[in-house]
Amino acid sequence: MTRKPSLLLMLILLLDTEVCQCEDVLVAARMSVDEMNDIPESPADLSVTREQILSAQFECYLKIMYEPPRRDPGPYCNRTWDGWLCWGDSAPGTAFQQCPSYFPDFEPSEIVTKVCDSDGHWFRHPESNRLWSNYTQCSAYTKQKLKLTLVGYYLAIVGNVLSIISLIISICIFSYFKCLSCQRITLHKNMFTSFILNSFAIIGWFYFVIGEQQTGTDSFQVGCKILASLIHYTSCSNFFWMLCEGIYLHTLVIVAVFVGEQQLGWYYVLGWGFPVIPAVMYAVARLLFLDDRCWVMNTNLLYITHGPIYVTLLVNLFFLLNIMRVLITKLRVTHQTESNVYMKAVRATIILVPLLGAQFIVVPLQPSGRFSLAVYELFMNIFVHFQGFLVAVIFCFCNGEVQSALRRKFAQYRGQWRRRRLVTTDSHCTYHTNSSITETSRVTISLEHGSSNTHSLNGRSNGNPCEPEISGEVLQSTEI
Amino acid sequence: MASVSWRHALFFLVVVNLPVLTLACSSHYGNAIEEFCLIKFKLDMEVLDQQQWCSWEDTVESYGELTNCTFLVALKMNCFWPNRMVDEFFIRVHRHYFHDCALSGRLLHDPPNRILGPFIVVPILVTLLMTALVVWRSKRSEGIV
Repeated sequence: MTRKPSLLLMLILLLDTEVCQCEDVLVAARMSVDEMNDIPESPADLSVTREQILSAQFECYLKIMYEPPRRDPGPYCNRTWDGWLCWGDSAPGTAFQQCPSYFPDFEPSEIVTKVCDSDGHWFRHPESNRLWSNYTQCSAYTKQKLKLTLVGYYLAIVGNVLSIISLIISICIFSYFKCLSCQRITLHKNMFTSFILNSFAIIGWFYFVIGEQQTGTDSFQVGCKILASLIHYTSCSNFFWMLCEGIYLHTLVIVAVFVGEQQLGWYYVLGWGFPVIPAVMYAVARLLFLDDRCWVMNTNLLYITHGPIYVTLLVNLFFLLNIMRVLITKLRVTHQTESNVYMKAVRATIILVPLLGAQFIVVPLQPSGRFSLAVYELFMNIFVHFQGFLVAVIFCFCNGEVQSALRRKFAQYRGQWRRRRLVTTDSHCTYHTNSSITETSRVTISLEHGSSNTHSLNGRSNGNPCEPEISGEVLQSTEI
Repeated sequence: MASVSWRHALFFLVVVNLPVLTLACSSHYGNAIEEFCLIKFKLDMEVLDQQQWCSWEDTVESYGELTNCTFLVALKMNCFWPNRMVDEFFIRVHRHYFHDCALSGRLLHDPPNRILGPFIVVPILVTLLMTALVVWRSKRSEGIV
């Protein structure tokens, strides 16, 4: 160590006193890879990225220090830090790693390559003669991915809006036609409400969080974390209301066959109250252990809410299969027609289980190829965000009772308009051939208690709109 | 008179060292970062307790400044960054200051399984309990309208 370098340094300082800010280091580093980058980054994002890179550098040098020296014979390239990723001792050839996730336009599923030549030296870029790792694949397909993400975004918004509209229409139909209102319909209405809340939360998330540029402020962070927790709550609530439907049918058919009306209080607790527990536990765990920006990072902590959802789906499936078993083996012999009715009701609910559960079952099957991944993401987007609409269609628009009620109402209005006179009607409707589950259960009771009671069912009783006018021998249901 | 001679000396030094300045990266880079950047880092680390040297929150700022400094010196000396000398420099720094620090855990990561486990298992158990409760209560409510 001579005195010369010190004087040299002094000279450098005298000649040029320019001072670079820290961020320039980052920008300069980025520019070397991707000259044209038009995705803006806020200062908060830059500092997060800088800390990630620093942590990676620190751990890289620790690893370089600790790893035992290479024992294989022959030339090899020395372990090194290339500025973004750590590389160990490599034999001549191409070493590769996953792309880091430091930057928004870097795709972690792509690969970084670094060539080691046969002399044991790392590859130098021919133009600048600097040690160079190939990061070009990380951001090569970003523009296409952005387009696809935009398509997915619009699909999600359209799906959720359509779901909200169809579910609101269904609730209105169920509320307007008093003749339809039974306990099962009450459960439907609650399930639809939970789907509507879920869709609103998701639209809010897409609009405020993903569309927003200024993600650094504290109030924004608090807001988007509350929204994330809300989405988990409503998503849990969807599945728990499905479970309530399954439990209700199970109770009706198997557990307490002679029950007229069940207490719905506990169903409300299970559907609305219980999902608070997983949602709050997820929020607490996230705050304590993995508090990243807006909680977007994929983590095992998601299983805190997804675990109960899987359990719900399995339990529901078990209940519904049990009902079907009972209907097929026991009731078919004695009560042919009722079992048909129940079977159709169970069929609707059992369609829901794979429909809503498929989004969780299919996740492990995520393909890794670029094109197939794009197709997979597209299908998942459509599937997940149009669920509310599908539920409304299955449970309301395709329901035979609803269809006949609507037809009658329409015919009524048409007749009114034609004859131009006021017909006093209310939303009571008369049944002749239709029945719903609760009515069927009462018929079951009466049939059990002897045929003499059958005649009492003819004609209305007490104005209860769910009582049917049934002639003893005809019990049909046209649909679910 | 003294200032004139000092300026002459300076000019002489510039002339002598000019080839060094305009050439590509030389081994002087290693000495430069050793002298220039390490001083501040040494001072920063001396302020901290030796037990705190492995605490990432306490050392991240000074480590960042050290890294920045090596980058700036590289820019000035027409070196590309990082290079073999940077590697050797940081290995020396780590051997001195961070030789017994944990190898991972600085980036955001999942909690260990012994913490994650209860967080996942408890809601599942409560779900099963609640389901059983609801089935039992609806069974009990027979006959009640």
